[in-house]
Amino acid sequence: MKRGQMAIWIILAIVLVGTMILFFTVERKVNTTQPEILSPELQVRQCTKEAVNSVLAQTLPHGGFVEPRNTKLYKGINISYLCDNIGFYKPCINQHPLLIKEMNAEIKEKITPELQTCFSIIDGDYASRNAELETGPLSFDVRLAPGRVYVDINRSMTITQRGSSRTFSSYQVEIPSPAYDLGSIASEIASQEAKYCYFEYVGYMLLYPSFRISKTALPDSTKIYTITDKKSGDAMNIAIRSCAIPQGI
Amino acid sequence: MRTNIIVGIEIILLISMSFAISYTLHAEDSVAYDYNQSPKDLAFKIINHLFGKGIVSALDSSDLKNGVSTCLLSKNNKVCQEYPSSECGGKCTTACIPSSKSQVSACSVGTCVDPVEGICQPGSPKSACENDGGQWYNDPNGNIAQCKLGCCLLGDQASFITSQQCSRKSVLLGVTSNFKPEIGSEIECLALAKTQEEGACVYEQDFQKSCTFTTKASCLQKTGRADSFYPGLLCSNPALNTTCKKQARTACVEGKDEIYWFDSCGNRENIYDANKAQSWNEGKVLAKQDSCTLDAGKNLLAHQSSCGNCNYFLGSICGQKAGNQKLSDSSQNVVCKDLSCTDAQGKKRKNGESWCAYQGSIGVDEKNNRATDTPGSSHYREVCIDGVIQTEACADARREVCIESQTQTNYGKISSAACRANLWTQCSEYNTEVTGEGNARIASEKQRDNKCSQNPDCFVKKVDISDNFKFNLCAPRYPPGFDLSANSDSAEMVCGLASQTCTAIYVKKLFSGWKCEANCECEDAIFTEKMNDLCISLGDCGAKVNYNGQYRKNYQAYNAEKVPDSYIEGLKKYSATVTGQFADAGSYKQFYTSLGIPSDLGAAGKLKDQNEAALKAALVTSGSAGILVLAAYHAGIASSFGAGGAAIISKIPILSSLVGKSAGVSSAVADPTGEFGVAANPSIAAYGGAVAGASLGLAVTSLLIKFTGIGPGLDPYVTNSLLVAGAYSGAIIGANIGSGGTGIFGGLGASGSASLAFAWVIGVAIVLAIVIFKLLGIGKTKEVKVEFQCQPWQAPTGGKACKQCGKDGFPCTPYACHSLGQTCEFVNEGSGQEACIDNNPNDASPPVIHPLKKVLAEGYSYQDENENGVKLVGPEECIKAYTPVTFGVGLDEPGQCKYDVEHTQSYDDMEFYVGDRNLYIRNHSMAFTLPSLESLGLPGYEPSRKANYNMYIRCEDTNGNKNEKEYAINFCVKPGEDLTPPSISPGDYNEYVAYNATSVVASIYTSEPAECKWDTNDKEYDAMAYSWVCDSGFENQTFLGWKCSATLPINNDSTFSVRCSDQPWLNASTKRNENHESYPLTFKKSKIPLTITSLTPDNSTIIAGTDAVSVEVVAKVSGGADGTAKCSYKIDNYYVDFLDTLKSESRNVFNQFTPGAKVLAVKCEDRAGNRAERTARFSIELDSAAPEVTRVYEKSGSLVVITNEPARCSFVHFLNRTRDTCSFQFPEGEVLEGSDLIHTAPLEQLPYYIKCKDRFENIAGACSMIVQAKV
Repeated sequence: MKRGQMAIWIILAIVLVGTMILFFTVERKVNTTQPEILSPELQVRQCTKEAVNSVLAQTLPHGGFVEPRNTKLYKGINISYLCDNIGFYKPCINQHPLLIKEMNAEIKEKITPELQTCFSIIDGDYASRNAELETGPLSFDVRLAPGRVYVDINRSMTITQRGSSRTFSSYQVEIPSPAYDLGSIASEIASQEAKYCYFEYVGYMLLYPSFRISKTALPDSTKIYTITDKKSGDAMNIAIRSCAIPQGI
Repeated sequence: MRTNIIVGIEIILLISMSFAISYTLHAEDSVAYDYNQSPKDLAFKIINHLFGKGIVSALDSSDLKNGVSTCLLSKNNKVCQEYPSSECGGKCTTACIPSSKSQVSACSVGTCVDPVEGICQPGSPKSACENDGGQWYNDPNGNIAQCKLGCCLLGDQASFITSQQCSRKSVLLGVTSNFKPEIGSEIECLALAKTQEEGACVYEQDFQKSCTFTTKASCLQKTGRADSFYPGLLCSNPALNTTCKKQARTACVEGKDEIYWFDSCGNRENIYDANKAQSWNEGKVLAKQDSCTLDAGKNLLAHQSSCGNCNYFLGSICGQKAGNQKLSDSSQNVVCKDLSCTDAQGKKRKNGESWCAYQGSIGVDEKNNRATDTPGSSHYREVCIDGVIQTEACADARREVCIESQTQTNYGKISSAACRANLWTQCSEYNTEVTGEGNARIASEKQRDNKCSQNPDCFVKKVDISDNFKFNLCAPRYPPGFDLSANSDSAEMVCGLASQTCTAIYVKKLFSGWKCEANCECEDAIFTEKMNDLCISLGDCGAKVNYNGQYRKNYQAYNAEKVPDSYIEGLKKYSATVTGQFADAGSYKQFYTSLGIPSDLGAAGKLKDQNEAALKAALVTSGSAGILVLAAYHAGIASSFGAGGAAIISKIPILSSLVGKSAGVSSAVADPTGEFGVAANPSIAAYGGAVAGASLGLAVTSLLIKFTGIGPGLDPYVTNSLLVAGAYSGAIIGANIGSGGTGIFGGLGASGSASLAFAWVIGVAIVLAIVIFKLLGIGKTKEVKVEFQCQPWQAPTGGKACKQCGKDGFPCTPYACHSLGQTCEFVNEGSGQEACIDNNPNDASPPVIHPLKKVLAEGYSYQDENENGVKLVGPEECIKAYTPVTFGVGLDEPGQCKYDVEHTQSYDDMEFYVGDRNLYIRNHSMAFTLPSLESLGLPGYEPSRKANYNMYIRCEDTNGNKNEKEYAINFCVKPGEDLTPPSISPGDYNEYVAYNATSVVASIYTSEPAECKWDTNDKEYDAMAYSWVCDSGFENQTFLGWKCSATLPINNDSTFSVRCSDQPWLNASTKRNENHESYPLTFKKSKIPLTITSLTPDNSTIIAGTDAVSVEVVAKVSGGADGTAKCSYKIDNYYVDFLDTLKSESRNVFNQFTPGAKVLAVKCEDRAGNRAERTARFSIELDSAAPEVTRVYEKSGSLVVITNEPARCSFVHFLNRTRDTCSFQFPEGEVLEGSDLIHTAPLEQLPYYIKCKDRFENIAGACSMIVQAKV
């Protein structure tokens, strides 16, 4: 009897330890639930949207660039000078006369790694499901448009699974964003500051009530404009230094 | 059995526990790391003394010759910036170009056009534009055809943009665009969008009649059929027989102000009205102006509970109900929300209204004729927008001022405000234009006063103390603030304008003793009061309070009475704001006129309707339109645009749709000024920022040239280049001392006053003057010099009040912070956590004084140095008479230092500042000259006994800690003979003489009191025939020495010999020293008169395609002194300098000319005083009309089109009926051959839809011609 009991306890102990060992050694997934693999269109749209929104969240507060180079520090943010003159009395020199084009290029550059990663993951997902994949090179274009950002992606992908094939070659992703409108207003501000050393932002808000604009004058004569789209809450900051007047002579 | 059951349960528990424990361990292991988010960087750099660094810097002496250089790309990535030549290399990534930016092709400023987006950017450098693929045009103002704006209609949205922008948006949105170039203003464009015809677009869907309420163009695009659109009908109209039921719910609409009904299909219907039937209008569209009225009289929300006709311009917009703001129908969740605000004084402000706020009294106290703005105060603009008050700071230290206008409207007074540049330097510069003697001078002063009165930022400061001591000065209405830590020299320079000496004359009477006979009032307190009134009106100078009410006396008055307490109390009240006080905007015409930019130039050819011109000028810039619109609506329009303005506005009928019937378009309000023009609109004045900046720069250049004398010896263009590079301060003063410039500013027009003396860097202190003041008293007449020294305002000592910064409701700025205490420091700038702190609260020690060795000249040294003083010795121990000596003291912390030649009990008892400077600095120095003791003429004087002197110094630090003990500087004068003759210097000598001049008034300066003579030949002193008039009294010493004047006859080029003899009190004594060599004074007389050889444009017509025209006026001169001149053009009654002048060709670009006939009077004056005048007459015509097709015919198989002006034409044949056939863009069509009047294309299939455009890109919105087959 005692030997039997002993044997049972030993067996139990072995089972206990073995279970614990198995638990930690068997590869487990991070998520407790395994999501379904989305069709490539949805997945591409999702990760493109995330990538673009992430980049916009970085560029807009800095004046349209992720890491602007000619900046003014304000409230802990380095804000790009769109129009600048280090001297006194004279209007500013437009530093980014093709701002929308530069913003397009900036977004494109910054989301490239994300998109490449996204497609790698998609390819991996299909591969893990024993699908045969034939893929082409990735190319895409970013266009800011009123109220949205278009990303036109070209990448051919032929998936063969269980004897049937599907081919995907292009994706047009539309992401709601006021970036184009904010950039256009920023360009208009720079334009009027370069010409008149002044921009009547109150009048502009009255004519275009969907935007809120504030202006802050700093001691070194830099003006910080913050343009906010009321609907989305997205805000763009720009710095201007024009017709600076020194203290005294 | 029971045992088995228990064991079984134990086993199960054990096995379960293994999983449980394992899971728990796993969960702890995986909690950690969210790799998607990085930690925020919370380390802020504390930036000390950011303000002022890197902007103004001292120059190398070579900069004064080489000026500025241009850097294409700086190390901090700034494009096309100018730096002083000595600094450029260290700041630039590439080699610097040794010329100003306007001379560098790559940095030429023009307009950059994005060929894809169609956006225009004025002020763009060529390189930055073209490198990124832009198209660059050589007009910096955007006045080019490609940037012509028109109205772009995309669906129900409108934008006032360029044609290319419109095309681009159309492509991006996939919507047909409709570009209307004939719409000339943003207001009209936005109004047009609101008046597009809408109606029901009916179509079949799922075998039922469905409907969408939209525009005709959208309906055509949707259905492809024109007959599916029912204009003016709602989708719920029973006649349409749709599935949509009326008035299902209410909601707000994006882009619209009002509350709308929606039918059951989700289509918008009419504006909400509690009377549903009235709103539904039998299923027809009800226009805004015919809908219910929200306002009644002055109450803009009188019918808020029953009407949804909100109006953003009138302060309401559709939004969620809240509190008392709701519709009477409780089932509705929306209401017209009140967007008004309540300001700090409890006054109700309307949406879009802006007003000024100040940190104390502003402007001029008319009763006391003095300016009142306080140190530390700035101006602010507050705006009510969407029910929230936004505060905008104007540039601090009153570099900008807030101006306001109030317009009476049907709804009460509406305020409109803006920040604009303070033109104070112009006020100072006007004073330099006073010239001549006698009547000529009086006339010159009167002209100066007129000019001063017309400038909205200046006022005529009258100083009238006695019959022989009175004068006027043009002073700033809003005196500027200074940053003493960055630029104390300019503060001293400006304040020094009010340092004056009044000489009271006493005559010794036989029995009554000394009696004052002239300028007696100067010895009374009235002198000190009046001079301080002048002092405080120049800037942060003199005795005044800061914005926090702290008083500080910052002047020195010698031999004058102190001011009474009542006077000081009168000053203290200026720290309090005055309710209802604001800086009046005045007339924008007046403002621009003061800058030389009139709304309409010249007297010839008055426009038929001056209001129209003013309106056009006002509407050129889109940004200001909003304010104008608001003012227009609230004012019933007329008063904003002058009498008759209502007639103008009413010609724009669609404007009424923006406000509905309640705007009162027809209610004319008389313009109270009785004159035309857009009166009192602050933003229009603010749009003069660029012009103001240029004028300020020129005024400062002129001032600096006058102050420092740099100009005559230096290419003025270089001076100006340096100025606009912002790097002029310290080095110019240093260079001035080296070059021996004048440094004297005259022309105050004071009768009986000495020339102006003002604080200088080294600080010339007339030590012996003090001795004279104490020892004089003999002789039959005597003079008492009553002197007032105006000094920069210093903050109170310590830092107790630092924490008050920002407590008055306005943001704390470095300027405000530094005014609250000497130890107040503004920290964390740029971090969002700025603060004003006391940086040295525990300092209780006074400054430690030590002698300053570096200012000693060679051969001088300090001896016997200890904590109580030092002895200053020269090369031969005692100092020789007439030797200039410089000495100084250094401190271990910033402080003020005073001195006296007699013992005093405390720092406060001492009278004189070391170097005449009241600044808190570490190094204090001063220069002085001691004469021989014989010059005192004191009988029984023992030179050897009086040889030793002590000067006693005490100092005070920024915390108010003062030295108790005196620090003594001991020196002695070596009695002996003066063996050196006086040296002669030319002073403000101008060698050029005008063509028709027969004589010239010349001045020279001697290094000691002397008598001087001149002759046309070189002779011994005694043989010379003519004498100079010399101020040889010892007390008349100026910075350059003692002045002598004479009128010299001029025939041709003339050279005069000048010699002097010192010690005039010795009369004919042989002990006097005479010059053995003559000083040559040469004058060059102009051989030919100055003439304006060319003035363009003149007798010509300029045809332009844009409303605002850029015209460059060029005046060429020849002859005169050297073929160069300063040219100016006439505005009203005075002349304004060309922006680019002082050359043989003067240029000025006017970038806001309106069409019409122009008359431009120009005068030029060169350095010799030669003058020339000429008047240009030209006209500007606006070609804003699109070319018209006058004839079309067929010839030899070709279609021939004739236009009424040179043009290019394009056509399309046949379009998909889903779009309006004439809405195609010019580039979309095929271009006809020919670019003049005749255009041809092969005749193929009809119809031809043709559009033509001229060289100014004028193009019709619709087709120029439609060629169809004959029916």
